[in-house]
Amino acid sequence: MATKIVQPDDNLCLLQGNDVHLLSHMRKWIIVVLCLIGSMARGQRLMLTGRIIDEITESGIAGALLLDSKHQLGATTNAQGYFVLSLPFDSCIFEITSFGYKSSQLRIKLTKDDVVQVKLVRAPHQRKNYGEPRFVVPGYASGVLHPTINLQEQKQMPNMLTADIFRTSNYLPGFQQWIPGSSALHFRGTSSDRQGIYMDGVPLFNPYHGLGTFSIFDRVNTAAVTFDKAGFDPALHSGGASTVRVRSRTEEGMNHAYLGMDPIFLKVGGEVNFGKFGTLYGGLRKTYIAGFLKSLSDSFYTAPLVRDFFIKYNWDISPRTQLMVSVLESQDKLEDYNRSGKIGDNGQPITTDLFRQLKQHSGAWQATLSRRERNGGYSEWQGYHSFYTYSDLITRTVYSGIELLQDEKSIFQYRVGLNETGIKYKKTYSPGYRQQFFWGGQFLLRQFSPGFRQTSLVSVGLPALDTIYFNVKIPVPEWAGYIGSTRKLKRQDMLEYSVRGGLLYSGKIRAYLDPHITWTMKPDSATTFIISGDVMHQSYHLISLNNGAFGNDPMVPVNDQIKPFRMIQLDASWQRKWSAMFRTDVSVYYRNLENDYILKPSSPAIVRSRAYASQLMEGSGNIYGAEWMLRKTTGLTTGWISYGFVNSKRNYAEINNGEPFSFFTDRRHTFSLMLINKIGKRNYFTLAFSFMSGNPVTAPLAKYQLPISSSTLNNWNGQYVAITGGTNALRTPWNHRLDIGYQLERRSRWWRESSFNFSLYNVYNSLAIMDIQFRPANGNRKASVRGTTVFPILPSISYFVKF
Amino acid sequence: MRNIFYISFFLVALLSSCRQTALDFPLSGRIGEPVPNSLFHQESPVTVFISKAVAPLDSSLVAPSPGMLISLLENGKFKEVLSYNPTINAYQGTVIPTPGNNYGLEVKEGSNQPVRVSASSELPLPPRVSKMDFKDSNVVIGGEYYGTLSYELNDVPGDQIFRLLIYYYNTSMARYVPVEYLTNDRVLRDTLLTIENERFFDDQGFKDGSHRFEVYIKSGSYYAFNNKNDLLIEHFSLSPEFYFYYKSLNDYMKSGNARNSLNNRVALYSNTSSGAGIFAGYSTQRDTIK
Repeated sequence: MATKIVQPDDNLCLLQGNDVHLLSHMRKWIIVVLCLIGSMARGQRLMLTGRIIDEITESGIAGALLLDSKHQLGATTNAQGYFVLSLPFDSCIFEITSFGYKSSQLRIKLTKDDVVQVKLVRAPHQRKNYGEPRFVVPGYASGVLHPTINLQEQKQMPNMLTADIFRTSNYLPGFQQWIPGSSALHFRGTSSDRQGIYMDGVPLFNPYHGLGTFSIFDRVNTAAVTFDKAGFDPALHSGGASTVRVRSRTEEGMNHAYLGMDPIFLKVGGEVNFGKFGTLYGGLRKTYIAGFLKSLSDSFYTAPLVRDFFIKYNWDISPRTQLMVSVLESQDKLEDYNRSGKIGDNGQPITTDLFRQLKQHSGAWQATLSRRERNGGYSEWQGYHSFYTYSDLITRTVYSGIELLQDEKSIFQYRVGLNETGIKYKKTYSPGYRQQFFWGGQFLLRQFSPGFRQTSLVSVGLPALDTIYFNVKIPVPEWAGYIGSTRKLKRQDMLEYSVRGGLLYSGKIRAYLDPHITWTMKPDSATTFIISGDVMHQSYHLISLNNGAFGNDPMVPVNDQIKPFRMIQLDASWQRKWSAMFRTDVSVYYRNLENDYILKPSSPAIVRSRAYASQLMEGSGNIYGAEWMLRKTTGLTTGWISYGFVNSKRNYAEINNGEPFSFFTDRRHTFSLMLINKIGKRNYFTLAFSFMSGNPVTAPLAKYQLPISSSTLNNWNGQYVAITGGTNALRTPWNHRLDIGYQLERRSRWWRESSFNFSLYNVYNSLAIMDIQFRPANGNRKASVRGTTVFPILPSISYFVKF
Repeated sequence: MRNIFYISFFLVALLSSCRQTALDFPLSGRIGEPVPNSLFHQESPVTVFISKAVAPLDSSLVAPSPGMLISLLENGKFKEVLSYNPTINAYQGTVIPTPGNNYGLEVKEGSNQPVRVSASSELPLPPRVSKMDFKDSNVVIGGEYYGTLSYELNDVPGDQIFRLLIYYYNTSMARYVPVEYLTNDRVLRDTLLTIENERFFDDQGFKDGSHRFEVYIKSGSYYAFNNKNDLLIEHFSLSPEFYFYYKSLNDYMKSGNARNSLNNRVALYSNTSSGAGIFAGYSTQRDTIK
């Protein structure tokens, strides 16, 4: 920020600021004369005249906006960057914004007419943050302590085979890994299917590769990931239990190419600057070794072929107009399900052939044209399309639309859009349930009332849903809107509140109300205490097919039989900055879940993805937990120590005799230690230790035979069934592991930048149980329950070169 | 660069060395544990099948252990000791259970031994069906003729769960075979559970009253115009224990309870003190249309 004020003069008063510059004498006298004339003409009003200029070229900036939100005063500059303001007040604070420049603040105290000149600093590579909500929504608690991992931290952390920002996120408190090394985001006791994942604001479906072993996000395409713990944005409509905002990689402003290798992926990409025609950044990842997942579960899956690519193009068409186009796409191909000789607990051969062949294809693209108008208005056209296909089962899942955002900074705002979300199953796998599809438009009218102590915003949405259900078309229109406000309280305390309301019609009227409230208290400059309450509804469900993060988890919209998911969360967080280096975060929370649908156990595997209502069961849940983290952010050694506690229970009438049971995300205790030590100028040594409670499992302990001569037992007479320890009543052993990594960064005349990362995953070969099997006695072999372990000690090397 | 490729390949091979390890779950504690299985009703004496785990994860439907004592209780009071019936390899009593009473089961290893396993369940009152009627081929659905079966089901006291099965008599097979039918009835459409041709529903929609059912049975293939076979309509009143057990057993079997690695297994419902086995009552009402 650079606020430039004119120097004192007999005819110009002294204004608060940093630097002072002289206008040219000729121009100055002209302006002074204008001021004097204006002052005489307007009586008590004082005239403020000035010019906004570029800090480098010192040419005037056209269309820059000055806004005093307290007094609701504003002006925009003309083509030469000049403005004139008539002020009824002697003290004003102006926010100065202009497209392509960092915003600046101008504080003035007038005793007589005055002339100012302000230089704005260019922000050529800090464009609009596309990962953030498109509007600054009052009630959205930006103060809540959202954990974030950025690209630099991701680069330095130890890798397991390939760098993955979702996997490294699992070291943060609040995450419960499905299996160690998994990239699935089990957050605060909910599964990865309840986390709404948005990349630059566009939702992504099932962004996982290799059965959740790794995600599509790494250094090729990702700048940072932010996890919303509380204070959720009411504008993100289908957020589920949490929202995860991924910000895509932005250009570095220099031409370069890169080549990267790690044990799974080959990565190529680079950046090209076309000068005034913009910048193109892109990267491609592709697996070059097949079969690495083969051992996951007795040859269940073989030959995974994976690739994804990311392209982003930025073009400053004019000083006020910008175009951004990005494409992210990924493909998985898993083949061959080995069914031979596998015997189930009941002594019968396994008959499922769901994974005979699996091909999945997903991605998202968006194009945004944004323009700052001369009068300060702002408009943005955005088209987006997110899709997902899954061979043999789902032919299409899409979320697409086009939106116009208008006048972000003016009194009235509006946003008009049309989007469509749908899922369509292949006929061969879903007789009687051919397609499920909903579409709609979203028309938002927003009113923005700027004020120093309070801002408020209203929106009305009209997304319509249309469902074809059992070949019966059931329209499910939905109307939604939200209103929010922010109040500054005494000291630096702040109260943010908003409420989102919606109405669904699906044979019967369903209404929902999502209030959000966040109270931020700052008793001193180093301490922040935040209390928040959130209610979240989700109008479609992603149905977990298993405990992991499969890419084929189906999406089921709300209809006449399926209710919206609802979560109530109460959160209290405390943060203390002990010095410039250390920070402590503590959170406690309680979550109540309603209408949490899962597949019925009786759904045969072959139709598990035909998730129609009769195959789903509705349940509820209660989760409570606590998180603690001590983080060191600066110095040669950085990192954190964290502890997370979670108790995640579910209640389904048809499971465990209707009694609550521990959900599979219930890893009771997690502990992480992350140390990143800088050695020399560019080398890093990283150590990561984690401890986790075991997974709750339902295990066969013995078996017995059903009566042979009972006529009431369907055709199950005489079969063997297992005695189990109750639903998820047993736990696999707790596990812990140590990972280390060493990263060398080099620059030479050959390489613009090279980085070599050596990681040792699971240093002391601590084996964690992923799954349990049942092995009956055979001859001299004793019967046992056995756990399949994955990921033993695993060194890996990655090499990344920019040239 | 080539070396990196080879090293990576080696690492992948190492990953493939994932292995299995034995878990310290309480297997041995289940050896020798008697597992009773009894679904009793008002038409015959209580019959209890006993399985025993003879080794971890292995078992057999066993012949009686020497001295094993199985007692039947009625409304909390001792009723009789069940005796072993070698014909069916099960323990059987002589008393016909009375609907509305509560029955208990106690399994001991010997007369002086403590009770090893116990369980109890109520035998519900049988459903009452009246005004049954069948009109032959009086409805056309989708261009085909259907007969209409209608009747009134009267509720019995308490929260009831019913099970409905409709059979026809197949002369060539010389036995009753389940028949499939269509219905618009809200009770039969919004069932608690449907397993093939079995429908489970509760009495919440006609509490302490009655409900008139109407179902459509296709004429032709198994119910021919000129060869009218008997229809058997079977209603069950189920104890909660019976319903939960049957439901979980269906889940268990339908899931294959396969060693389907990535999904949790189904825990079978049990109402015994040991957590394995079932002792549950049900009553039946059979009606035939000739």
